[in-house]
Amino acid sequence: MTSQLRLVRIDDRLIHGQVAVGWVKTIQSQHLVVADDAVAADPMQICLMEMAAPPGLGVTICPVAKAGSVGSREEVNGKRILMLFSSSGDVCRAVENGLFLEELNIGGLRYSPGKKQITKAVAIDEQDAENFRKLLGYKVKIQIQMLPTDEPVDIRKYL
Amino acid sequence: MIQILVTTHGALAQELVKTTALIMGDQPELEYISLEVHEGIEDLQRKITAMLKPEGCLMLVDMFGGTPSNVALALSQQYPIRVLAGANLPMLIEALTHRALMDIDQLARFVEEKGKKSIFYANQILSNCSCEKEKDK
Repeated sequence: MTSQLRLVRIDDRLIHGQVAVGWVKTIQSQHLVVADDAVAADPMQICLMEMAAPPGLGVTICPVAKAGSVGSREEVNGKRILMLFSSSGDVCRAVENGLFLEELNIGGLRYSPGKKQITKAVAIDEQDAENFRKLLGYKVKIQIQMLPTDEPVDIRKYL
Repeated sequence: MIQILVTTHGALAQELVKTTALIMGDQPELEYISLEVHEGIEDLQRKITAMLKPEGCLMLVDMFGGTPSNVALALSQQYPIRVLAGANLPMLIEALTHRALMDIDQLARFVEEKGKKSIFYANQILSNCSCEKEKDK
């Protein structure tokens, strides 16, 4: 038995309403994986993530470098997985550490000074653009799509 | 499709619907009606009946005993309306998520139950979490 990676998403809020309500149902996810070093190191953040997950869904929280091997854990065995990262750099690092990725969803990257707002929910800087170009080089299909009901937009439009 | 009509005092209804769209995207057959300060019972009756769809309407109103609730209940004697009072965001999300799967009576009972279970004293939930327990050690 193996688990299926149904959706890999960059969302700097990690588990929140749009993910718990919209995406989980759309892809019929059975397990959430949060790959984030800061969350994995903070028991309070771990609690909040576990509480934010819809009832009945398992949550695995791991450091970014372990994202590629999370599929072999017992609790995710045979499950349809939704995996969350909080930044483009983390996704790159996960792929370089063995995560096999075909598609990447960009859900939410909030604006901060120095970033360019490219869609309603996504702002990127030059480092993000560089990371996305690198992932495109690894043959990852990257689309911006905040909600399942939104039209997906190819990231190459903005690079 | 069961129509969902959020009806409240003031702009609450509009904002509940807008916030839901932020989480779930735009939804068909989801409308709102606000009872403005200068408006009376007849105004609200007129607004509601002008918007009702014949397939049945689940009305989420802000507060039991308030004018939106009273007017909706009175109209339910004449029209296929089900009224849920005490509307909140989780109830609206549940109603939209499940309306295609149930008939209108089942949906009303289901959303009532979900609404009651959507209220938490959140600190207490957190205090049962392992991170807080470890702190006490």
